[in-house]
Amino acid sequence: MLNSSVDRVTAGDTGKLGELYLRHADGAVRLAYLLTRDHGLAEDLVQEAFVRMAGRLAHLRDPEAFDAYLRRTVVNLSNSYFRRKKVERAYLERTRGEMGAARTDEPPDGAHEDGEALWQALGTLSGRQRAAIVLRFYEDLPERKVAEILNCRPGTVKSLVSRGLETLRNQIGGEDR
Amino acid sequence: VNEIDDQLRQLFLRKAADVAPHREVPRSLVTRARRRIALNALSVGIGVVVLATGAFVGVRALSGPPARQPIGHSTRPPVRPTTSGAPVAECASAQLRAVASLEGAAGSRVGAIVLTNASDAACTLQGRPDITVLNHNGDPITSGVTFTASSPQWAADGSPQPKDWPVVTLQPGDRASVRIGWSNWCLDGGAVPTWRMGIPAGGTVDVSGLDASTVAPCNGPGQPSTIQVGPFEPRAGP
Repeated sequence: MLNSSVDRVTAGDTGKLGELYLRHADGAVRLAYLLTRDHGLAEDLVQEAFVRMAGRLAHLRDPEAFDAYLRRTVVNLSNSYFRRKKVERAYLERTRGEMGAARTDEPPDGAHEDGEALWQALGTLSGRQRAAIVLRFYEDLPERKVAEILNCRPGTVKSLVSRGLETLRNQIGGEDR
Repeated sequence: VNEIDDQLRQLFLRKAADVAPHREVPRSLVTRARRRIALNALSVGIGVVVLATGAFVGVRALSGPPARQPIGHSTRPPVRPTTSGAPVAECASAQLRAVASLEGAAGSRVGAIVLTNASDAACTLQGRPDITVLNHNGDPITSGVTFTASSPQWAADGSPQPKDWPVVTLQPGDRASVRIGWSNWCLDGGAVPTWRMGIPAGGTVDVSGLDASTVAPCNGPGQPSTIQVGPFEPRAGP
């Protein structure tokens, strides 16, 4: 079923892209939300992922790989977003420092709820650390698969997860004290 | 370690459950997808055109300047700057003197037409001249003569390409030449014809130096006379 949908989109029948969207959007948006902690941003990233994939489906040799390809695109878009934000934040902080203004960053969706310290602490991780942890503990992917998505070696995934967990532990410990 | 693992798993499951199911396709998705596919197709098309153009230009550059040019269709060069920066104009026919210098060779005559810049201004020549053959009455012979293009003498000699060629810049007194090969002259009763050279910038120059000793021998009556004409090139020797 998925194969036939991919074939039709490849042939230029973009109407069938909707079929793929309805089949895969829920999982992709959940992943994007856990990576970004922002519902609106997650929806935008997933739509952008589908648009990009519509342009590349002709080059997707194995239609079975659609799900993995979508997951990888969502993770890459998320990481790109956070890289851009990091640059913007550095610029804004420099500007605020010059103007003597205070930070006004909005907390992520759900950050004010009870027991959400861990959720908020996830925001302190780098994009790649967060992606590695989400893919490992939400998607339950083995390190080898995570490495394929992040385009790195399995040893790097192990390191990203280990350091990410350590940071989370410290964050939560700090909150508790 | 396991404790935070479990906390993360539970947190992720709880948060993922907050995401509402997608039962409709956003309207903008298909529009944006169509636009993306069209852009990709356009990019591929532009890429193909650029590659094809590059390949064509590359092949032309590798093959060098054309060895043959149709007689009577000389390429008109642009005005070229001199080392002092002043532009050098194309040679006008009034600036040039033309003398044939042909020798016998295997039943034909080979050599060159030597052009001298007889003016007091520098000028340039480029391309291949038109040659018109006139009978003893001074009328053009329009049939029985076949013109073909030949390579320049420097190429036939295996010498390096002259600097700036195919443009030949003539300072006052400088000389250029046009390689000539002439065979089987049986027309006009074997009378010595007059040659007239058309200059790319316009106008003609009569070629002197043709006499009974330089006329190609008649080896095939009824067969056309053949005149091979090379492009303009610098003349270093006598």
